[in-house]
Amino acid sequence: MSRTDEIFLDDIQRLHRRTDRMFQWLLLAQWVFAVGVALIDSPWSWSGTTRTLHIHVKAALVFGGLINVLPILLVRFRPGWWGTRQSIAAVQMLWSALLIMITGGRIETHFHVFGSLAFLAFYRDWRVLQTATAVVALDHLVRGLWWPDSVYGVANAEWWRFLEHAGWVMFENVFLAYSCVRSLREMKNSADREARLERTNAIVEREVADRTRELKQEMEHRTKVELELRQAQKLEAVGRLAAGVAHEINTPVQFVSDSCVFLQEASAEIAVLVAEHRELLSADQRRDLDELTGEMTEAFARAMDGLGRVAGIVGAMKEFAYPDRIEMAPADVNRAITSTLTVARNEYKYVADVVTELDELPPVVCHLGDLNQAMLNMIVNAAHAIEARVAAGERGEIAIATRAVDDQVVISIRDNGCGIPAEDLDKIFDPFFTTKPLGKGSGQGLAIARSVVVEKHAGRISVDSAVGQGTTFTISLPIAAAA
Amino acid sequence: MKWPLAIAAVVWCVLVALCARELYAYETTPGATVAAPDGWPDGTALRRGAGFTLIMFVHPDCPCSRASLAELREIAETPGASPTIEIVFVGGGGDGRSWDLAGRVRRAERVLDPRGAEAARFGALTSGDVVVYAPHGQLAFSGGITGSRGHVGDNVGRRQVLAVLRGDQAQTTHAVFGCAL
Repeated sequence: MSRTDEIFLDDIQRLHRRTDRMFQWLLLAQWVFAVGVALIDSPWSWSGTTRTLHIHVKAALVFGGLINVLPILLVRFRPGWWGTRQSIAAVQMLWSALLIMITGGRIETHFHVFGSLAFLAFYRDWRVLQTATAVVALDHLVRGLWWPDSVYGVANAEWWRFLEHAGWVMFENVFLAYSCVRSLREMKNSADREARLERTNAIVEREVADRTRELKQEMEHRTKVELELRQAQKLEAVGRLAAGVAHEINTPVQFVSDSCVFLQEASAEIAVLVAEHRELLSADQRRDLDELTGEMTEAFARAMDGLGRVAGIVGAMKEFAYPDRIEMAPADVNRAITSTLTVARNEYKYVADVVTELDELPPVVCHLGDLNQAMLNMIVNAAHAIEARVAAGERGEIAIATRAVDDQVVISIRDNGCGIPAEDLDKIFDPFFTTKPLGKGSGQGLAIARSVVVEKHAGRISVDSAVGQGTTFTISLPIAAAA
Repeated sequence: MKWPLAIAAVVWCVLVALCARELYAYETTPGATVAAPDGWPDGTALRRGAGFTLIMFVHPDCPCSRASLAELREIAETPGASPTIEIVFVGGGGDGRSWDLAGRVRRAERVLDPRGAEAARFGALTSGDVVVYAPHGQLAFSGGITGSRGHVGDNVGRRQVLAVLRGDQAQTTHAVFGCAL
């Protein structure tokens, strides 16, 4: 069924129900009117001086009530049903007959028939007019056959005389039926217009919804970009600071280291000179000298080792925080991983050991600073996952491996931490999604990592996780820059 | 739902038909009549005209009388029909409605017949009973001039009276519809 048909049927149903209700009140009003007229005009029937209630009063009360019962009940319980309006049409004609009888056959009361037909046309259903006409015809047929003088004024009326009366009713009905058909056609046209309007509205609403969704997506994208930019600016500032600090530390570390080397060599030469004059010393002095010489050698070794480690950290920081270029440049990914591990050591050193298996790789064209940031985020996440799972005193493992596959470099970062529930796997790369306690994570780490790998390097990032067993992130980067 | 509704509709139709039949029967059942005297009766106080004399006997309170009086008014106003008209109120003047209505009938004289003596003299038993006497005193018509009880409109009785008054018809009768006098 088309929408036009639906609207049309709905309209016509409402029209039928509304007209049913109008007739319900009319039927009741006619009943009251008939009783009133009978009581005023013909209250008593007489036989000499004896009076009894006139049959008009009884007819108005009983017959009027009886004929009203069926249509009023139908209006009450089956409004809009075709049978309801057919019963109303029939009863309305019976009311015409009853009112004509109660008013003593006054010619004026006969107009009730024609007024009722016009009112019945409110249904815009020509079939109710047919029913009304049939009742009029039947009434005249029956009365014409048995009591012709009461209806036609002649004793021997022709049998077909009822058709003459019904014919005049039909005469009005023709125009009313034509009006009904025209009205229905107009209602159908109106329904068609409404259906078209609905379709147009639906299209406009869909368009508005699409535009709103696009706008929302655009706003979300812009918010994300702004956040990333802010984060990048922050990191850049921190990186610059770290690079500056590393540079400042590097110089004193260098001359402290050079001085230590000099002191180590100088103390060795002093030890040789002292050894050449050992006989000048007492036995106790020779024993003290030997102890001092041994301790000095160990102290110098420790100092040199510490200085070497400081130099290594400073170097890693310098590399990690090296200001990124706008354009991509070839870089050593393995070295970047090593530097990142050095920088991130404080995050994992208390909970996990790091195992690396770094194959020889060709230089990868990339934004090294961004790549360092992405790997740092994932290593920190791995450390946090292990921290969430292992008991105090136990240690987990972070395994990092690299290999070249065709024109790609594949980096895998595996941990044996708490794992990620399956229902969260498709959300972990969403900005601000986090399952960490408040203050522990911002929900930006993996979102930035995905952005760096997928959007900036046209790479791929995937995750494989089992709750309680651990998680493996796999990053694939094109060796050559993506077009 | 269908069958109970159909049964209720059929029962309703039957009840309506039975009630309608009762009503029609009441409306079309004539009142009692006896033959009116063929000649102008002796001892009557009613006036007798030189031409036709029409006498209607009515019950003063019977609603059906108003239809009879309305038909009588039609007869009185028909061109060419100018009988002497006597309207006899049997038992009294009643509530006055019929009395007033009778006053509007042209050339009619209203007469009270408290004891019903005139009605008995002319053999009238039903309100609306009409007798028409020819100029020479012969009964020309007896009966009612409505087609059914209390129903105005063209009918056989009225046309018979008019035919008699025009001299087109010999003695005839018609059923009387009304209350018993």
